[in-house]
Amino acid sequence: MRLRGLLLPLVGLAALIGARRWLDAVEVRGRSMAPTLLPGDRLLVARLPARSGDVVVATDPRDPGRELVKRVVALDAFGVTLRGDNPALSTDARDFGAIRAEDVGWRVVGRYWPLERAGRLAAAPPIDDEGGEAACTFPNALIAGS
Amino acid sequence: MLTLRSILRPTRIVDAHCDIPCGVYDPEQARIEAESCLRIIEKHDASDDKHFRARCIHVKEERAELVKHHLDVLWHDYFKPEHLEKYPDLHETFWKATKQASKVKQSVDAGAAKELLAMIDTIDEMWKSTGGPEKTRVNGRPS
Repeated sequence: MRLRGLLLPLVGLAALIGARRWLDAVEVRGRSMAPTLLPGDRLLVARLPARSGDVVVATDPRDPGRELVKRVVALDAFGVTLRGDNPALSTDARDFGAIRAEDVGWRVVGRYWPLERAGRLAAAPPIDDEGGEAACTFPNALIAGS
Repeated sequence: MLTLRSILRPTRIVDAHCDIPCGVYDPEQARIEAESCLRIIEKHDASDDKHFRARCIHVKEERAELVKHHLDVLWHDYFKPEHLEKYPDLHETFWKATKQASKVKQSVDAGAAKELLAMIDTIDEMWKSTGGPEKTRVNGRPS
């Protein structure tokens, strides 16, 4: 299990040496993707088309100088709809609407840091728009334990 | 030379961000400004002093503009798509209330100001039944 989790990041790292244009490493800031992603997590991202359910890196439609990491919840004629896994702490499609597919540049293929959570990302947690408390307390507990 | 450290170093930051709104939303803010409008209209009507009446109109227009602002903030920042499912007439209600605020701004009609208060109270009910007080008020506020 542990080895399988490490295989993906290792393959990715080998590829990184050659091609930052197609494969890159980024660091997460903010909590809108908790508990899936936490601040400081390092991710391997690839130039792959986004699919529904993927976590992607997209250009902020309101500030082209900034990149967002969010989950794709819909792909349709309106464009790409992004949501944070932690809706109570996320600014996303609910505020800025669907974005253009060409603004979604990268798909997150896995996390390589911290090592104990390296590997593929978890699927989206069930959306709880009402409170979001459960999604908020989980990462805190995780940080306290690590 | 490429070191493992340089390969591992992220090239950039990606934001799992939130605009961090203050999270305090309360129809009372609009209600107090609308009450000001009503009171000012009453004082305006009771006075014969043309300078005082001119001041009343000036201040009332400012207050009515604030009503519109506070309603707008509630509308697009507090209310979410799932609230629209519960209240399909939510947009219509806000649209009419902000139009009513314009009417109060343009006139010295006490009836129009009272109607605006009733519309704000309808919005207040929507806010309360969607958990507004629990979600947005700071604990310990005297009621």
